[in-house]
Amino acid sequence: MDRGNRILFVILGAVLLLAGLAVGLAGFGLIPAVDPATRLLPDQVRDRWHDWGTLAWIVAAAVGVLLAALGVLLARAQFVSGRGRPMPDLLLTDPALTGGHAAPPRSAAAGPDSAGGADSVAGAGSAGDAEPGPAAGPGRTRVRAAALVHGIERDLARHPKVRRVSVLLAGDAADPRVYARLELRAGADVPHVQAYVSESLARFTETTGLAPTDVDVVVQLTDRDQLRVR
Amino acid sequence: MRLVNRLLALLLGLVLLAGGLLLAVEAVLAAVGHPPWLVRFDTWLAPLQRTTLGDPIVPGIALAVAALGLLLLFVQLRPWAPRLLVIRRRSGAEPVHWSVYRRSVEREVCAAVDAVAGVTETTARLRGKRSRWRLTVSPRGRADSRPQVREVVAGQLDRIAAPLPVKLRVSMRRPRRVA
Repeated sequence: MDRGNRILFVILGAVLLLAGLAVGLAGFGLIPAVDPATRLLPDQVRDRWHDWGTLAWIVAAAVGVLLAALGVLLARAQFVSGRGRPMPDLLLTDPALTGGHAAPPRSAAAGPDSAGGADSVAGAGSAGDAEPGPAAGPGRTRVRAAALVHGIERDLARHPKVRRVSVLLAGDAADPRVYARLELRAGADVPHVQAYVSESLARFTETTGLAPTDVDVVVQLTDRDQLRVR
Repeated sequence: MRLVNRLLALLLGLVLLAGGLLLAVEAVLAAVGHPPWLVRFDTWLAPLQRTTLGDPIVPGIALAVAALGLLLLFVQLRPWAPRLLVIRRRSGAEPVHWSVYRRSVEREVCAAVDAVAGVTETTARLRGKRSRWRLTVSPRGRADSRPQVREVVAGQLDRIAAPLPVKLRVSMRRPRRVA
Protein backbone atom coordinates (compact mmCIF):
# COMPACT_ATOMS: atom_id res chain seq x y z
CA MET A 1 0.00 0.00 0.00
CA ASP A 2 2.89 2.36 0.69
CA ARG A 3 3.94 2.29 -2.94
CA GLY A 4 0.35 2.82 -4.05
CA ASN A 5 -0.01 5.83 -1.77
CA ARG A 6 3.22 7.27 -3.09
CA ILE A 7 2.08 6.89 -6.70
CA LEU A 8 -1.29 8.41 -5.82
CA PHE A 9 0.29 11.47 -4.22
CA VAL A 10 2.78 11.87 -7.08
CA ILE A 11 -0.14 11.96 -9.53
CA LEU A 12 -2.08 14.32 -7.26
CA GLY A 13 0.95 16.59 -6.87
CA ALA A 14 1.53 16.68 -10.64
CA VAL A 15 -2.13 17.52 -11.30
CA LEU A 16 -2.11 20.31 -8.68
CA LEU A 17 1.14 21.70 -10.04
CA LEU A 18 0.05 21.70 -13.68
CA ALA A 19 -3.46 23.00 -12.98
CA GLY A 20 -2.18 25.71 -10.63
CA LEU A 21 0.46 26.82 -13.11
CA ALA A 22 -1.98 26.82 -16.02
CA VAL A 23 -4.59 28.93 -14.23
CA GLY A 24 -1.94 31.20 -12.70
CA LEU A 25 -0.22 31.84 -16.03
CA ALA A 26 -3.56 32.38 -17.76
CA GLY A 27 -4.48 34.87 -15.04
CA PHE A 28 -1.29 36.82 -15.69
CA GLY A 29 -2.02 36.81 -19.41
CA LEU A 30 0.99 34.68 -20.25
CA ILE A 31 -1.00 32.14 -22.27
CA PRO A 32 -1.98 33.88 -25.53
CA ALA A 33 -4.85 31.49 -26.26
CA VAL A 34 -6.66 32.35 -23.02
CA ASP A 35 -8.09 35.79 -22.33
CA PRO A 36 -7.50 36.89 -18.70
CA ALA A 37 -10.94 38.48 -18.79
CA THR A 38 -12.55 35.04 -19.09
CA ARG A 39 -14.92 34.34 -16.23
CA LEU A 40 -14.36 31.35 -14.01
CA LEU A 41 -17.89 30.16 -14.79
CA PRO A 42 -18.71 31.46 -18.27
CA ASP A 43 -22.31 32.00 -19.31
CA GLN A 44 -21.99 29.28 -21.95
CA VAL A 45 -21.29 26.68 -19.28
CA ARG A 46 -24.23 27.83 -17.18
CA ASP A 47 -26.52 27.81 -20.21
CA ARG A 48 -25.33 24.34 -21.21
CA TRP A 49 -26.06 23.10 -17.68
CA HIS A 50 -29.60 24.48 -17.83
CA ASP A 51 -30.09 22.96 -21.29
CA TRP A 52 -29.37 19.52 -19.91
CA GLY A 53 -32.04 19.96 -17.24
CA THR A 54 -32.57 17.01 -14.90
CA LEU A 55 -30.01 14.90 -16.74
CA ALA A 56 -27.23 17.20 -15.49
CA TRP A 57 -28.24 16.54 -11.87
CA ILE A 58 -28.45 12.81 -12.46
CA VAL A 59 -24.92 12.82 -13.89
CA ALA A 60 -23.75 14.90 -10.91
CA ALA A 61 -25.32 12.40 -8.50
CA ALA A 62 -23.63 9.52 -10.31
CA VAL A 63 -20.28 11.32 -10.11
CA GLY A 64 -20.89 11.88 -6.39
CA VAL A 65 -21.59 8.18 -5.81
CA LEU A 66 -18.48 7.27 -7.81
CA LEU A 67 -16.32 9.63 -5.74
CA ALA A 68 -17.77 8.23 -2.52
CA ALA A 69 -17.01 4.68 -3.67
CA LEU A 70 -13.44 5.65 -4.53
CA GLY A 71 -13.13 7.26 -1.10
CA VAL A 72 -14.28 4.05 0.59
CA LEU A 73 -11.80 1.97 -1.42
CA LEU A 74 -8.96 4.37 -0.63
CA ALA A 75 -9.74 4.51 3.09
CA ARG A 76 -10.18 0.74 3.33
CA ALA A 77 -6.91 0.08 1.51
CA GLN A 78 -5.03 1.82 4.32
CA PHE A 79 -5.99 -0.99 6.70
CA VAL A 80 -5.09 -3.91 4.42
CA SER A 81 -1.76 -5.61 5.04
CA GLY A 82 -1.13 -6.56 1.40
CA ARG A 83 -0.14 -10.09 2.34
CA GLY A 84 -3.24 -11.76 1.02
CA ARG A 85 -6.07 -13.38 2.87
CA PRO A 86 -5.40 -15.38 6.01
CA MET A 87 -5.23 -19.13 5.53
CA PRO A 88 -8.54 -20.96 5.96
CA ASP A 89 -8.92 -23.85 8.38
CA LEU A 90 -7.16 -27.10 7.56
CA LEU A 91 -8.68 -30.50 6.86
CA LEU A 92 -6.68 -33.62 7.80
CA THR A 93 -7.75 -37.17 7.02
CA ASP A 94 -7.24 -40.28 9.13
CA PRO A 95 -5.70 -43.08 6.99
CA ALA A 96 -7.42 -45.75 9.09
CA LEU A 97 -10.81 -44.40 8.18
CA THR A 98 -10.24 -43.10 4.68
CA GLY A 99 -8.88 -46.05 2.76
CA GLY A 100 -5.52 -46.74 4.34
CA HIS A 101 -3.58 -43.70 3.24
CA ALA A 102 -3.44 -40.17 4.53
CA ALA A 103 -4.44 -37.50 2.07
CA PRO A 104 -2.41 -34.32 2.11
CA PRO A 105 -3.92 -31.53 4.18
CA ARG A 106 -6.26 -29.25 2.34
CA SER A 107 -8.03 -26.03 3.10
CA ALA A 108 -11.55 -26.11 4.40
CA ALA A 109 -14.14 -24.36 2.27
CA ALA A 110 -15.71 -21.32 3.84
CA GLY A 111 -19.26 -21.52 5.07
CA PRO A 112 -21.34 -24.22 6.77
CA ASP A 113 -21.81 -27.64 5.29
CA SER A 114 -24.84 -29.77 5.90
CA ALA A 115 -22.88 -33.01 5.56
CA GLY A 116 -20.79 -32.34 8.65
CA GLY A 117 -21.24 -34.05 11.98
CA ALA A 118 -18.50 -36.67 12.14
CA ASP A 119 -15.58 -34.24 12.32
CA SER A 120 -13.31 -33.53 15.18
CA VAL A 121 -12.14 -29.97 15.59
CA ALA A 122 -8.69 -29.01 16.78
CA GLY A 123 -8.09 -25.49 17.83
CA ALA A 124 -6.79 -23.29 20.55
CA GLY A 125 -9.49 -20.69 20.23
CA SER A 126 -12.49 -20.07 22.42
CA ALA A 127 -15.16 -22.65 23.04
CA GLY A 128 -17.19 -21.03 20.32
CA ASP A 129 -14.63 -22.22 17.80
CA ALA A 130 -15.40 -25.85 18.42
CA GLU A 131 -18.36 -26.19 16.11
CA PRO A 132 -18.75 -28.81 13.41
CA GLY A 133 -16.91 -27.58 10.36
CA PRO A 134 -17.45 -28.02 6.68
CA ALA A 135 -15.50 -31.27 6.43
CA ALA A 136 -17.61 -34.22 5.40
CA GLY A 137 -17.36 -37.90 6.24
CA PRO A 138 -15.64 -39.83 9.02
CA GLY A 139 -11.97 -39.65 9.92
CA ARG A 140 -11.47 -36.03 9.07
CA THR A 141 -10.05 -33.47 11.44
CA ARG A 142 -10.48 -29.80 11.01
CA VAL A 143 -7.66 -27.66 12.38
CA ARG A 144 -8.40 -24.04 13.01
CA ALA A 145 -5.96 -21.71 11.26
CA ALA A 146 -5.92 -19.65 14.45
CA ALA A 147 -4.64 -22.72 16.29
CA LEU A 148 -1.83 -23.13 13.77
CA VAL A 149 -0.84 -19.49 14.21
CA HIS A 150 -1.00 -19.81 17.97
CA GLY A 151 1.11 -22.96 17.87
CA ILE A 152 3.90 -21.49 15.78
CA GLU A 153 3.85 -18.28 17.83
CA ARG A 154 4.23 -20.22 21.07
CA ASP A 155 7.03 -22.30 19.61
CA LEU A 156 8.94 -19.23 18.43
CA ALA A 157 8.37 -17.44 21.72
CA ARG A 158 10.13 -20.28 23.56
CA HIS A 159 13.48 -18.95 22.42
CA PRO A 160 14.92 -17.01 25.35
CA LYS A 161 15.91 -14.05 23.19
CA VAL A 162 12.51 -13.69 21.54
CA ARG A 163 10.50 -11.08 23.37
CA ARG A 164 7.37 -10.92 21.25
CA VAL A 165 6.10 -12.79 18.20
CA SER A 166 3.42 -12.05 15.68
CA VAL A 167 2.66 -14.56 12.92
CA LEU A 168 0.32 -14.44 9.96
CA LEU A 169 -0.48 -17.54 7.94
CA ALA A 170 -1.63 -16.76 4.41
CA GLY A 171 -2.30 -18.70 1.23
CA ASP A 172 -3.88 -22.14 1.45
CA ALA A 173 -2.86 -25.70 2.27
CA ALA A 174 -1.21 -26.17 -1.12
CA ASP A 175 0.67 -22.89 -0.96
CA PRO A 176 1.06 -21.86 2.67
CA ARG A 177 2.92 -18.64 3.39
CA VAL A 178 4.24 -17.59 6.77
CA TYR A 179 4.86 -13.99 7.81
CA ALA A 180 6.51 -13.53 11.17
CA ARG A 181 7.63 -10.50 13.12
CA LEU A 182 10.09 -11.22 15.91
CA GLU A 183 10.95 -8.70 18.57
CA LEU A 184 14.27 -9.71 20.05
CA ARG A 185 15.76 -8.89 23.42
CA ALA A 186 18.94 -6.92 23.88
CA GLY A 187 22.06 -8.76 22.79
CA ALA A 188 20.23 -11.38 20.74
CA ASP A 189 22.41 -13.28 18.30
CA VAL A 190 20.42 -13.19 15.06
CA PRO A 191 22.09 -16.20 13.35
CA HIS A 192 21.24 -18.24 16.44
CA VAL A 193 17.64 -17.09 16.27
CA GLN A 194 17.61 -17.92 12.55
CA ALA A 195 18.67 -21.48 13.34
CA TYR A 196 15.91 -21.73 15.93
CA VAL A 197 13.32 -20.43 13.45
CA SER A 198 14.40 -23.06 10.92
CA GLU A 199 13.93 -25.77 13.54
CA SER A 200 10.56 -24.33 14.46
CA LEU A 201 9.46 -24.34 10.82
CA ALA A 202 10.58 -27.94 10.50
CA ARG A 203 8.47 -28.83 13.55
CA PHE A 204 5.54 -26.95 12.05
CA THR A 205 5.84 -28.90 8.80
CA GLU A 206 6.19 -32.20 10.67
CA THR A 207 3.13 -31.52 12.81
CA THR A 208 0.76 -30.08 10.26
CA GLY A 209 1.99 -31.52 6.96
CA LEU A 210 2.21 -27.97 5.63
CA ALA A 211 5.47 -27.02 3.94
CA PRO A 212 5.53 -23.22 3.66
CA THR A 213 6.43 -22.09 0.16
CA ASP A 214 7.36 -18.62 1.33
CA VAL A 215 8.48 -17.44 4.74
CA ASP A 216 9.06 -13.79 5.48
CA VAL A 217 10.61 -12.99 8.84
CA VAL A 218 11.09 -9.42 10.02
CA VAL A 219 13.30 -8.84 13.03
CA GLN A 220 13.09 -5.93 15.41
CA LEU A 221 15.99 -5.43 17.77
CA THR A 222 15.16 -3.92 21.13
CA ASP A 223 17.17 -2.90 24.15
CA ARG A 224 14.70 -4.60 26.47
CA ASP A 225 16.06 -7.69 28.09
CA GLN A 226 13.82 -8.50 31.04
CA LEU A 227 12.97 -12.16 31.17
CA ARG A 228 9.49 -13.52 31.39
CA VAL A 229 8.34 -15.04 34.64
CA ARG A 230 6.01 -17.99 34.33
CA MET B 1 6.72 9.40 5.93
CA ARG B 2 4.91 6.16 5.25
CA LEU B 3 2.66 6.75 8.23
CA VAL B 4 2.04 10.35 7.15
CA ASN B 5 1.14 9.09 3.69
CA ARG B 6 -1.28 6.57 5.12
CA LEU B 7 -2.94 9.21 7.27
CA LEU B 8 -3.14 11.61 4.34
CA ALA B 9 -4.59 8.91 2.11
CA LEU B 10 -7.11 8.00 4.80
CA LEU B 11 -8.07 11.67 5.13
CA LEU B 12 -8.36 12.00 1.36
CA GLY B 13 -10.54 8.89 1.23
CA LEU B 14 -12.86 10.25 3.93
CA VAL B 15 -13.06 13.64 2.20
CA LEU B 16 -13.93 11.92 -1.08
CA LEU B 17 -16.55 9.83 0.68
CA ALA B 18 -18.17 12.79 2.45
CA GLY B 19 -17.93 15.11 -0.57
CA GLY B 20 -19.22 12.48 -2.97
CA LEU B 21 -22.20 11.64 -0.78
CA LEU B 22 -22.98 15.32 -0.27
CA LEU B 23 -22.81 15.92 -4.02
CA ALA B 24 -25.07 12.95 -4.69
CA VAL B 25 -27.64 14.04 -2.10
CA GLU B 26 -27.68 17.66 -3.27
CA ALA B 27 -27.95 16.59 -6.90
CA VAL B 28 -30.88 14.28 -6.18
CA LEU B 29 -32.62 17.01 -4.16
CA ALA B 30 -32.10 19.49 -6.98
CA ALA B 31 -33.31 16.98 -9.58
CA VAL B 32 -36.61 16.45 -7.72
CA GLY B 33 -37.05 20.17 -7.17
CA HIS B 34 -36.33 20.31 -3.42
CA PRO B 35 -34.32 23.14 -1.86
CA PRO B 36 -30.65 22.36 -1.18
CA TRP B 37 -29.71 20.61 2.07
CA LEU B 38 -26.32 22.04 3.08
CA VAL B 39 -24.80 23.75 0.04
CA ARG B 40 -26.53 26.90 -1.13
CA PHE B 41 -25.64 27.14 -4.79
CA ASP B 42 -26.68 30.78 -5.15
CA THR B 43 -24.07 31.94 -2.63
CA TRP B 44 -21.10 30.71 -4.66
CA LEU B 45 -22.54 30.64 -8.16
CA ALA B 46 -22.77 34.43 -8.53
CA PRO B 47 -19.15 35.14 -7.45
CA LEU B 48 -17.91 32.47 -9.88
CA GLN B 49 -19.84 34.14 -12.68
CA ARG B 50 -18.39 37.55 -11.80
CA THR B 51 -14.75 36.64 -11.13
CA THR B 52 -12.34 36.56 -14.06
CA LEU B 53 -9.04 34.75 -14.49
CA GLY B 54 -7.26 38.09 -14.28
CA ASP B 55 -8.61 39.02 -10.83
CA PRO B 56 -5.66 39.08 -8.42
CA ILE B 57 -7.12 36.43 -6.13
CA VAL B 58 -7.33 33.80 -8.89
CA PRO B 59 -3.63 33.66 -9.88
CA GLY B 60 -2.77 33.94 -6.19
CA ILE B 61 -4.81 30.86 -5.27
CA ALA B 62 -3.63 29.06 -8.41
CA LEU B 63 0.03 29.63 -7.59
CA ALA B 64 -0.56 28.49 -4.00
CA VAL B 65 -2.10 25.29 -5.37
CA ALA B 66 0.88 24.89 -7.72
CA ALA B 67 3.27 25.34 -4.78
CA LEU B 68 1.36 22.70 -2.83
CA GLY B 69 1.62 20.33 -5.79
CA LEU B 70 5.35 21.02 -6.10
CA LEU B 71 5.85 20.35 -2.40
CA LEU B 72 3.89 17.11 -2.67
CA LEU B 73 5.96 16.01 -5.66
CA PHE B 74 9.23 16.85 -3.91
CA VAL B 75 8.31 14.97 -0.74
CA GLN B 76 7.14 11.91 -2.63
CA LEU B 77 9.91 11.73 -5.23
CA ARG B 78 12.94 12.27 -3.02
CA PRO B 79 14.60 9.02 -1.92
CA TRP B 80 13.20 7.60 1.29
CA ALA B 81 15.25 5.72 3.85
CA PRO B 82 14.28 2.05 3.67
CA ARG B 83 12.09 0.77 6.48
CA LEU B 84 13.48 -2.76 6.22
CA LEU B 85 16.90 -4.03 5.26
CA VAL B 86 17.73 -7.56 4.22
CA ILE B 87 19.99 -9.57 6.52
CA ARG B 88 22.03 -12.70 5.82
CA ARG B 89 20.06 -15.89 5.72
CA ARG B 90 21.24 -19.22 6.95
CA SER B 91 22.49 -21.63 4.35
CA GLY B 92 19.56 -23.95 4.01
CA ALA B 93 16.84 -25.08 1.71
CA GLU B 94 14.03 -23.19 3.44
CA PRO B 95 12.53 -20.34 1.43
CA VAL B 96 12.99 -17.85 4.26
CA HIS B 97 13.48 -14.14 3.64
CA TRP B 98 15.00 -12.29 6.55
CA SER B 99 14.91 -8.57 7.11
CA VAL B 100 15.39 -6.18 9.98
CA TYR B 101 13.93 -2.82 10.90
CA ARG B 102 16.50 -0.16 9.98
CA ARG B 103 15.77 2.05 12.98
CA SER B 104 16.23 -0.80 15.41
CA VAL B 105 19.67 -1.51 13.95
CA GLU B 106 20.63 2.15 14.29
CA ARG B 107 19.50 2.14 17.92
CA GLU B 108 21.44 -1.05 18.69
CA VAL B 109 24.62 0.25 17.11
CA CYS B 110 24.36 3.55 19.01
CA ALA B 111 23.83 1.77 22.32
CA ALA B 112 26.79 -0.56 21.70
CA VAL B 113 29.14 2.26 20.71
CA ASP B 114 28.08 4.38 23.67
CA ALA B 115 29.24 1.54 25.91
CA VAL B 116 32.84 2.11 24.74
CA ALA B 117 34.84 4.00 27.37
CA GLY B 118 35.11 7.70 26.57
CA VAL B 119 32.52 7.63 23.81
CA THR B 120 29.07 9.23 24.12
CA GLU B 121 26.15 10.66 22.15
CA THR B 122 26.56 8.33 19.20
CA THR B 123 24.35 8.79 16.20
CA ALA B 124 24.06 6.22 13.44
CA ARG B 125 22.68 6.51 9.94
CA LEU B 126 21.99 3.31 8.07
CA ARG B 127 21.11 3.41 4.40
CA GLY B 128 21.32 1.08 1.47
CA LYS B 129 19.30 -0.74 -1.09
CA ARG B 130 18.05 -3.59 1.03
CA SER B 131 21.06 -5.93 0.96
CA ARG B 132 23.83 -3.34 0.44
CA TRP B 133 24.26 -1.51 3.71
CA ARG B 134 25.96 1.82 4.22
CA LEU B 135 26.45 2.72 7.84
CA THR B 136 27.73 6.02 9.16
CA VAL B 137 28.47 6.14 12.88
CA SER B 138 29.19 9.48 14.53
CA PRO B 139 30.18 9.15 18.18
CA ARG B 140 31.46 11.95 20.34
CA GLY B 141 34.87 11.03 21.72
CA ARG B 142 38.62 11.14 21.20
CA ALA B 143 39.95 10.25 17.78
CA ASP B 144 42.01 7.39 19.16
CA SER B 145 38.79 5.57 20.08
CA ARG B 146 38.07 5.03 16.40
CA PRO B 147 39.56 1.51 16.10
CA GLN B 148 37.67 0.38 19.15
CA VAL B 149 34.44 1.86 17.79
CA ARG B 150 34.98 0.10 14.47
CA GLU B 151 35.56 -3.16 16.27
CA VAL B 152 32.39 -2.79 18.32
CA VAL B 153 30.33 -1.88 15.25
CA ALA B 154 31.74 -4.84 13.32
CA GLY B 155 30.80 -7.12 16.20
CA GLN B 156 27.29 -5.73 16.24
CA LEU B 157 26.89 -6.12 12.49
CA ASP B 158 28.01 -9.72 12.72
CA ARG B 159 25.56 -10.36 15.55
CA ILE B 160 22.76 -8.79 13.53
CA ALA B 161 23.72 -10.92 10.49
CA ALA B 162 24.26 -7.87 8.30
CA PRO B 163 25.04 -8.73 4.67
CA LEU B 164 28.79 -8.34 4.34
CA PRO B 165 30.61 -6.26 3.38
CA VAL B 166 29.02 -3.23 4.98
CA LYS B 167 30.33 0.15 3.90
CA LEU B 168 31.19 1.55 7.32
CA ARG B 169 32.21 5.12 8.02
CA VAL B 170 33.15 6.23 11.52
CA SER B 171 33.12 9.97 11.95
CA MET B 172 34.39 10.95 15.40
CA ARG B 173 33.09 14.21 16.81
CA ARG B 174 35.04 16.19 19.35
CA PRO B 175 34.21 15.40 22.95
CA ARG B 176 32.44 18.11 24.89
CA ARG B 177 34.66 20.31 26.98
CA VAL B 178 34.03 19.98 30.66
CA ALA B 179 33.65 23.40 32.26
